[in-house]
Amino acid sequence: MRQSDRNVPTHMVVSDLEDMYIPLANGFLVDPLESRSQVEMLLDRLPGMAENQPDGNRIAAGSAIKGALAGLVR
Amino acid sequence: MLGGQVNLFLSGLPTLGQGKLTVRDDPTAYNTDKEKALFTAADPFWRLTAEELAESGVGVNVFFFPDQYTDVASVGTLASITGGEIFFHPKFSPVRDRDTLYDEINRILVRETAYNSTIRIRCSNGLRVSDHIGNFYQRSLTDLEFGTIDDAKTLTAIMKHDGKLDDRLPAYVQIAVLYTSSNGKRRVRCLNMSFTVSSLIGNVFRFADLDGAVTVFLKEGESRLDKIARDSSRG
Repeated sequence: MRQSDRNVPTHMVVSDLEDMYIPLANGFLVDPLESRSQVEMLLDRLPGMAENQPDGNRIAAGSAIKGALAGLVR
Repeated sequence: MLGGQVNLFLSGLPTLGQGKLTVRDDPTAYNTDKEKALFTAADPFWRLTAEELAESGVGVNVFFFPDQYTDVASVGTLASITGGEIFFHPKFSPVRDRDTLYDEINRILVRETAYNSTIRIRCSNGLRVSDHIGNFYQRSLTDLEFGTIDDAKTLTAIMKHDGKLDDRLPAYVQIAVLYTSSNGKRRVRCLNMSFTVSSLIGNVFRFADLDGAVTVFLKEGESRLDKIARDSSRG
């Protein structure tokens, strides 16, 4: 996310598992040096996001990879 | 489209969404002819997505942290077709495995990685490349595609005689690697080798590369695990 003009990373949810896309017009890649503090904040948040959810934890890695590919290909 | 690298960290079996998998481990199939099915991907989604990633110049490294059965054969195709690496940490214990994991992540982030790479091997007259073995996407007879490639990766090529070689002239092999460097420059690197030709069979054996020969047998056998029964692969 081109978030170098904001202070905190934004959390967006794409719930369409069959048709993954990146909901940002300018893509989601940033310069790690410029956005270092946001990247570190995201890493700190990750353990909390992976905690046990009330209706169970299920993994959708296939859809996630399709989403990553959508973000890396122009 | 410059390419990129995706690092996937997986703590269990993906049971939701595209390419979803089931627990298909079958201990009764071990040591039988049916075992080889366990070494191939369960859903063609994984191979097709991996080929799409390799064509886009993206390499995937997969970190597995399973507590129970996980389908490495399926999700691992993402790494083996794009030129990425698989890291397997069963029953991950932070105290025991933290340092190893730290080193692995550090290495893949810091080492020099090239993207969107194509490799082609050419030989002089009388030789031809008959087979390639390794983790890449082979789109055609001659071109091997790697989403990412770095100095920890190897591939094996088997060359055969295509005609008579003149023992007064050397034989040549060239490996051409087209890639995008990590600072975005598109480059070709050529490795050129020449070999002496001999018609004395004693010389062929004396100067043979034993390490090379054993490596080829090992990799050939390993690459056929998903096609033939395990016991005959040992031959």
